[in-house]
Amino acid sequence: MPSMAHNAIVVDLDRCIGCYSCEVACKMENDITLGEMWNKVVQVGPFGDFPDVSTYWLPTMCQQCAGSPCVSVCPTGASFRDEETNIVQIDKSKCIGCRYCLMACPYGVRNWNKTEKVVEKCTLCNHLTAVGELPACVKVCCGKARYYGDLDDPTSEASQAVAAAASDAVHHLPDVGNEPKTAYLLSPKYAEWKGGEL
Amino acid sequence: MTDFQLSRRTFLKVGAFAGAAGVLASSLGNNLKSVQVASAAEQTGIVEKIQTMCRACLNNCGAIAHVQDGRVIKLEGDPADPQSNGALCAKGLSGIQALYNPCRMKYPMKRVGERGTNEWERISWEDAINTIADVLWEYYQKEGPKSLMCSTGGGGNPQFFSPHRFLGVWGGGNFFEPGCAQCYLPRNHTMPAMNGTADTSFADGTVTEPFMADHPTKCYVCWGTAPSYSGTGSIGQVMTHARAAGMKTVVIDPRMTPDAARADVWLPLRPATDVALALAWINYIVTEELYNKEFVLEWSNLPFLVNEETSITYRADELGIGEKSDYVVWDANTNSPQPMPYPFDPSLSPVLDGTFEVDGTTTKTAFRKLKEAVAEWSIEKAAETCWVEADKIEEAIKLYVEASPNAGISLGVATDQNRGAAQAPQAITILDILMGNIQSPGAIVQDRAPAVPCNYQVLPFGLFGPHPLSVPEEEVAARLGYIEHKGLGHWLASHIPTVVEAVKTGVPYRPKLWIERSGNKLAMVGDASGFAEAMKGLDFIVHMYMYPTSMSVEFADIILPTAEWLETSYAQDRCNVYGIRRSITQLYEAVDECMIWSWLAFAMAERGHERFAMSIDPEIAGKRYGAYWRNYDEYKDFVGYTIGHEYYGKDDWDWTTFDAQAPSEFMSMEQYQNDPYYRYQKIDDETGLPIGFKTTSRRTEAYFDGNVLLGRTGALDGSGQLPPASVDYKPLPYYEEPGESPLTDTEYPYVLTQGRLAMYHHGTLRNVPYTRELCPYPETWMHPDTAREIGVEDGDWLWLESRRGKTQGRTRVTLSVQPKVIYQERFWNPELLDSDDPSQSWKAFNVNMLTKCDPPFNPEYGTYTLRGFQIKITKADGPPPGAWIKAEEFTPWLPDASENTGGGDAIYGA
Repeated sequence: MPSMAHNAIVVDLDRCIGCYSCEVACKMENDITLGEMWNKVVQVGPFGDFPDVSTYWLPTMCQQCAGSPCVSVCPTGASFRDEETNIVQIDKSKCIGCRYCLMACPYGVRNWNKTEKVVEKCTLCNHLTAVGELPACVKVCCGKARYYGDLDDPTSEASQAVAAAASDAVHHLPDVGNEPKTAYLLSPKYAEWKGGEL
Repeated sequence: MTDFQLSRRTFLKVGAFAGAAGVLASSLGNNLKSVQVASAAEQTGIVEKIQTMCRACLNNCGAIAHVQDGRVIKLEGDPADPQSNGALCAKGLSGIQALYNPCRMKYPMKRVGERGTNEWERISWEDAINTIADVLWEYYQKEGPKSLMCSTGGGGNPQFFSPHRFLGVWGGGNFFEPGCAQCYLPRNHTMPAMNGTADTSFADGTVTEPFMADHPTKCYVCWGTAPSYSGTGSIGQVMTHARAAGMKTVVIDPRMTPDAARADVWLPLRPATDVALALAWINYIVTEELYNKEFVLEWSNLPFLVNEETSITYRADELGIGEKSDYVVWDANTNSPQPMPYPFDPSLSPVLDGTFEVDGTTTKTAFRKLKEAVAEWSIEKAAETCWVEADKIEEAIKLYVEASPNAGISLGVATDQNRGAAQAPQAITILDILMGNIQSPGAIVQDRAPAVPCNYQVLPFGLFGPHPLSVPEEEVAARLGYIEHKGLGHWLASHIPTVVEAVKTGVPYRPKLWIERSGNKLAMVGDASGFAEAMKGLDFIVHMYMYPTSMSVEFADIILPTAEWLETSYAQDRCNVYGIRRSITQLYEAVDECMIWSWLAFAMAERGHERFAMSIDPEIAGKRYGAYWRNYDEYKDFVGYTIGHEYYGKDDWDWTTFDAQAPSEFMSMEQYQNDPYYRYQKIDDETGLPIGFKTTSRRTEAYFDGNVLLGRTGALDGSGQLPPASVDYKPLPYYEEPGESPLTDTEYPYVLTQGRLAMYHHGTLRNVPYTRELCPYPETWMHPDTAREIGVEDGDWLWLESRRGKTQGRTRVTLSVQPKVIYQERFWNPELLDSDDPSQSWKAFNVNMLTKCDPPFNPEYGTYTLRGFQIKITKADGPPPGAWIKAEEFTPWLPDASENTGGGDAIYGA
């Protein structure tokens, strides 16, 4: 029976201090090749009229879309949705390196592993969450800006972070029909959301 | 030991071999074969989690090392750390790649070619110590203590006061550090001397008020400090908690930082104009009468009358109206000067702001002197001088004033890097005194600071008073540049430009030997080219560090491998908790630097040096300082004893006792927070009077006449015996334009500033793959208007040129800085060490090719100019040849895990 869970990460950009700890923690935990990132932090801005400028740092990773085009286009089932957790994953043993999924992903958060000739991406550290730990990026976050949990469970930390935010502070990357689940919290007092203009 | 040599290129192809000449390879693999494993770890597969503490920066966040079969396989933050709460930043996480970096210095090595040719021969620790000790002993007998210089730096796991300790026992000579007068010393000395409490450096661990759970600080002014970058896991984090809890923030910084981006007001001032801005804040507060009148009248020296002739506050005996112990106020009740006994005589009505006739001379209150000193600094004038908007300055002041006395200002490193290095902390301290932001809840100035900067435990003998091993007075006075810049004495330091001059000219004497512990001096010191040219003339140079740098290749005759933080044992306070750094493994023959200084001390004692013989005698050394240590266990027991004695009220601790219970609370958090509040008002049992402040007058000294006395005598209370500096140090802050100013410089039109980034600390981590790929080259930040003016676009390679030299950077067009202001961070290129021109490792991308080491110096500290000087910029054809830019190029630096050998300690002891 498929799970109804939607596990994802919520990032509070009001608290993100652009320190790249999540990026490095992800690489350390998952032993990611130089030059590649499953979780990449990009600075947005500064924009505005100097000195009245705004900026924020946006960590980008697999958005755990409800309608995941990467899964639909995969010819071998290597990109799949885990039945137990509902998390989009990649079975590298089935990946034939066609890279359709790289093209299908609207956010460019899938990586081509040149050595293994397979596609990789954020696994939400399922090897850690399976034993009750948090994803590496959430654990080390220096701004305490990251929350992990089931967005369909109102008691999860991720859901509670979204619920606590003002409605005009909750954002998603642009939805082109794929329903990204990862939520970003950014208050208008700090910066205008520019999620779609990376 | 074989003695054949290979050419560099041949060597790189040969790869690993043992015990022969070779180069310090920094681009390819191991420079020497892995050491024989002392005790092969049992392959159990079991993962042990060990609580320890990071030292990738000064924050010392709690870390948990996952250890499998003796190897560190993972690092996490420690949730038990009350300051970092489980966070660990990019620098800390890089600990594994730093530890197992294939280019570690692995063994003691002796140079076999010319300096700069990078050809080396492995030697034993015994050979190394004896060789160095022989040279030291020869020069000590021949030329005396002035022949030796020792130096350090704040990056890369230092035992910071170890060189001072060694030099002290040696009996003289010179200590220098590129930070010091250019980093933290001016604030660390000036602020407590005036507020009698503490400095306000957030990054150096002094400030803990923002960590209090109830967030008592209502407004926090971060002036030239970027907590998100300089203490990411702890002070960067707590800013997010405090802002979320409603704390207002003002950030004063030429560049947009993460903390500036979240500030209520950001003032992107012109670099090196901080003092002008601060004077305008003081003027506004004084003119608008916004200051805390009660505090200023009763607990500052601003009501005291000042002797116009000497610039010193009057004592009652000078006017024949009372005791020397009492200062003098103008009493409105009697319209006459009256002695003001400590703490305060309520029958008197002191006039704060006035000019009077006393004994036929015009006399002003200190407050009037202050008012006059800042009178020209209107908001408008500051706006024009500092290139910030007047209404934003006013808005910032109001936020600060309205939140006082539950507010404060942290002054960061920025102002330590130009001629106003003493005047900035003077002005900032005056602001917090005027507003009563001293020891009140929420104030940044609290009496929680340790006695020693950053709470280092290994200390120079005599730091707390006379000791048999205190440095002889004539040798103290002979420190280069000390008489002119007496503030350096606070850190027992010499003046780098004077040192460089002495090495070059032999005036007043020529140092001959140099023992250096830090990374890359040439990437850190002002005007690196001038420094390099002078230092090459020294007779004998030793470099100790974890990996080779330009310093090793260009200068060293002997290089000694030191330990990464994962290989060392130490202790560090974290608010009310004392944490422990546990040595997780020890690789190759690396050792904690304190062992090198110790072993040299024993070797010198054996050769007949009397003071070193005293330094290894526990009876003479005393328990607080400890006698030098024969081995690491003795040192660790010293650390355990010290922590027990200083923090837990125990006199019988050793390392095992400390280790068994650490980390632990040495007091409750409630006590830690509340005990220091208004400590100055608490009654001293012996005197029956309030404790007061740790100043000469026991009041806060906004009028800093102690500074005048420091310059004239060497002591804040005038009790020093040193000859005066050539100019008087001033009791009140003043602003001077930078030596090179964009207001007048037409040839070099842009003003350069520097500042830390999230992935690097000082000169470290440029050889760690995961941090270097985040920032593979230094970015040159410029406003779009500047880019248009120069004719460059985002990503263009650049030449930056000053009157000292030129170097490269890469354009980043950004609204993070204003027009005419350029930002670029320090850099060096480890991959170029074994290139055809190793000097490119420190020349290619190094802003210190541009910085100044020449006057104007700050009078008090001799500070030279690293920020706020002029450059010009042209487009370059490309990046420096051989510099690694692409992420894949850092592959040779990926970790090469090796076994726990026990380090140098396993094979050598004194």
